[in-house]
Amino acid sequence: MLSTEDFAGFGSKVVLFSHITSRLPDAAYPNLLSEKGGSGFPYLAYLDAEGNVIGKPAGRSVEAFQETLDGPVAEFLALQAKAADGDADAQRELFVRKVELGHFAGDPAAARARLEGMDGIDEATRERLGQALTEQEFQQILGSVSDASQAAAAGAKVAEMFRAGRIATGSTSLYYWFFLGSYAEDQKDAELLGAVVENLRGNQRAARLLPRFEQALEALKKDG
Amino acid sequence: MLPRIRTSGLLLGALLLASPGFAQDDETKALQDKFDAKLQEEWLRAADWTTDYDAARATAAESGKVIFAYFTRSYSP
Repeated sequence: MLSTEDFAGFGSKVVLFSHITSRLPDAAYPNLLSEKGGSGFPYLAYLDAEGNVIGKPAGRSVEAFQETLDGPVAEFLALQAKAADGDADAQRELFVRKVELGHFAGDPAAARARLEGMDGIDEATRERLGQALTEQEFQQILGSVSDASQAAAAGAKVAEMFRAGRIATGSTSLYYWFFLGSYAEDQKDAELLGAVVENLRGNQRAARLLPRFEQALEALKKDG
Repeated sequence: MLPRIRTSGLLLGALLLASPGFAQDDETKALQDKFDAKLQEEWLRAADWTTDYDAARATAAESGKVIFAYFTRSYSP
């Protein structure tokens, strides 16, 4: 589809950029995929000139790309212009959209503080945005791990999230528990490992992880 | 339709098996070969793509256009 004339016609209306994750040691922007909210391949996003995500194509066809460009992307840019003119409602809505699009993934704490102090946002939206920031925070951690040697540092960060009540529940949440359980095992923290085991029980995707952590927990308990 | 491939399953498998560290010389060469081959794929020549993130942002700033970003990988099919 990317080789068709239709796509080339669409491409003339935008700047076409492809990021190729190579795993080469000297690759430029090696974590760009996760920084822009991606967790698998292929991943598509519209970015502004500063690299912020301003939309995600609703489908994988030229028609869907164009619809997203004419719809959500154009709406975002119009909202941004309105907010810049001082419209308070537009500023609040723009903040909501930016959280949803992952603009604050690099600094979720600042976004959380802003969210807490913001009027005019109902409780359900506040909760949804808080969880979105948690998912983005974890995606940043996950994206920073490319081999086993980096898992310990990731585990410490996930433990910090867990202790603050921020639990990832998205499609990659199994890795949240993997990092946390590995960290608890390494730290010989039976209480934390017990919490991981409790959370993994009943999770069919955890069939490989759960026995390992259960055994480690038993061993920790025996060691006192 | 573009196939969707999740990286995380592979990552978890690698972590569980405690795979060795970053690519060594032979691995680096193999990764470079795969990257070079990716750059030769037809779709990259069929439209005006850049693989330079800085250049894409500069072009977007100059032209007023937005960036259509396509993230793919070369290290695995």
